[in-house]
Amino acid sequence: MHVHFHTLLQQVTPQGRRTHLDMHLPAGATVGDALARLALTYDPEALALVVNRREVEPDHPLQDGDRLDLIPAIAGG
Amino acid sequence: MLIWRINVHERSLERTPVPDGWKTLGGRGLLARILLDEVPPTCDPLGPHNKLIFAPGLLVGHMLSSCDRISVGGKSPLTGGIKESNAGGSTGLQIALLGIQALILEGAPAGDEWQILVIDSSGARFEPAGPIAGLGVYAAARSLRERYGDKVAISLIGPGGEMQLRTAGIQNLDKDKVPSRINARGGLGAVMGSKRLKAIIFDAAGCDKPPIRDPEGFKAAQKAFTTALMNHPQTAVYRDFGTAGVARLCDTLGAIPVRNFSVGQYEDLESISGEHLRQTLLQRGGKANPTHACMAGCTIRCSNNYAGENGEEIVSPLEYETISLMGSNLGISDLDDVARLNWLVNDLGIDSIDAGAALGVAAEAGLLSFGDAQRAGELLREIYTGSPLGRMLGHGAALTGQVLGVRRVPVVKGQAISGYDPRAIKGTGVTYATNPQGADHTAGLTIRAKVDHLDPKAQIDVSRNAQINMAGYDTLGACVFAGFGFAASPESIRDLLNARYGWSVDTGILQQLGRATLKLEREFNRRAGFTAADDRLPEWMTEEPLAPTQAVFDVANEDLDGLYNW
Ligand code: SF4
Repeated sequence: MHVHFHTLLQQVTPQGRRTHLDMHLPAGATVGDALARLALTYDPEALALVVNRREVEPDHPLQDGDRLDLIPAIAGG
Repeated sequence: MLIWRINVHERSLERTPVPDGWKTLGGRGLLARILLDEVPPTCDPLGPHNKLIFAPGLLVGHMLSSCDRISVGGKSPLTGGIKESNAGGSTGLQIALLGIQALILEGAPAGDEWQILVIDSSGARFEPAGPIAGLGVYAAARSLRERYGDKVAISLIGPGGEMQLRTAGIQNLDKDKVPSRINARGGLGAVMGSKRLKAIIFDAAGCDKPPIRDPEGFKAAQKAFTTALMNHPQTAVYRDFGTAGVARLCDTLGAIPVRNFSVGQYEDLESISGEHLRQTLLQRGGKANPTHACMAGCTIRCSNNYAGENGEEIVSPLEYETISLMGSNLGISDLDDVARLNWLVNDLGIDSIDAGAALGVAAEAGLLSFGDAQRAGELLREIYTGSPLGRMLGHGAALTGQVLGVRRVPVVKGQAISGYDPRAIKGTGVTYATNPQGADHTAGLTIRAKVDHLDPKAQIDVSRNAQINMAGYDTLGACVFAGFGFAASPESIRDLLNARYGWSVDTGILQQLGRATLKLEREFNRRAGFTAADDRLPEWMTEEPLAPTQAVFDVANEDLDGLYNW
């Protein structure tokens, strides 16, 4: 599974400045599990969660090869 | 506060108390009321019966963070309907300090000579513009500052407004005196041009702040609002990345306009992203600055100063709408190029969204190749010459599409769609379709809503709420981003209004103002001849799938038509 970080999150990933990383999760894992594994210092409530270009909830199940975008929510320009 | 009414034919000024029905309104809501009361909806937008109105919002004048915006309105020469366009900068504050609740410019000029209207505490006077007429916005603003000093606010038009092009805007000085805060949309600069006004000077020297009924209550509410705003997570994103932070989000959702709205994902996204913009500006130093406030007192500071490699400023600010419409939409991937095109449209005094969309349509017709920034610049420079080609582009995407015979024209009610392809963010498509302003990035974006943006059934409520809130904020004079603070602390709107005016409104006031404003605007459009057929996206967007989501706009027409049944 590929995780992509947007804007501020690129500065608070566990490894410091990262734009994306690959992650292996057990079968049946959800977006919430991925977030827990990442242990970001960012309020998950203030994140938009997008899997394969669709906005989803934390209980959304993940599949091998999915793209998860973690986006500090913004209202537009 | 008073109503100032200036007849440009008589060159007369009348100052009157605010009529009862207008007293509880400001900004966009007041514009809608005045336009419905005074402007024949079927009039010629560039003729003697249209009026150009400046109205600060209800909370303007107190340097509340991000709340000193100026709304300008009239009948739009672009859409043929009602138009409000608001801007930051210093005009809102100065006009409120002058005690003006609305400045109404009416009539048709007696002669052809360009004028400057000077407004100060003693009244209003007309002065010949002389050699300032014909100048681009940047040179004109420099000359005006030499003539009137650096303490005044200035609203001015460029060659686009002088030529009465339908995408001409009105430019205002930011807090650093750069004429870049723009009432950009819908051709209000052309209406100002039709009144033969090159510029309006607002000089509030010697004026006091607008009165506050309950100063202690106001202070407490201001503190609650500012704290909520500062603590809101979105404030930090806009401070660091500006609106350009939206580029990656839109690309992720498959909704960024690419090559005249033909694709929703950009292969060169990295080079136009907000993250890249920030890194570039931090590295370049000099005048480059990723965090800048357009008005005094704004704590969000979403604006920026974009400088080239030598550290000299190219343009300020560079924002997402321009990056998408003049960047990815034209296949242009170098932000330096986008910044230079942005400077050009600012100097011409035309809307970068409609100009970018017009160039996209022109590229589709073969007038330039996608990715050719130099040719895009040449085409924009045609507008200075007043050639038929330049005028066509300056009239916007809708006219350009008609002249060039292009079907893929991204407009609603004649106004260009902003940087969110409505097929992939369908709630925003509902806003584009049904909002009385036409396709507009400030009328009710839905990108933040927690919905599946591709689900056609989930969008009506989301869009309706966004439209109502935006119309409310525009009536307060609040920047859309001040909305974070108000959303987190809704009682602060109630408390600020009650303390400022001695009212006793409740927390529903934002939505009440928003709903009332939208109803008035819709009624103006109805009387102007608009029907349900005008509340539709372009037909091709309902048929042509957008890669990579393969989405079409498929929100049902009956759902669109029911949006206003609340
Ligand atoms: S948030 Fe941005 S646009 Fe809004 S008032 Fe502040 S600098 Fe201006």
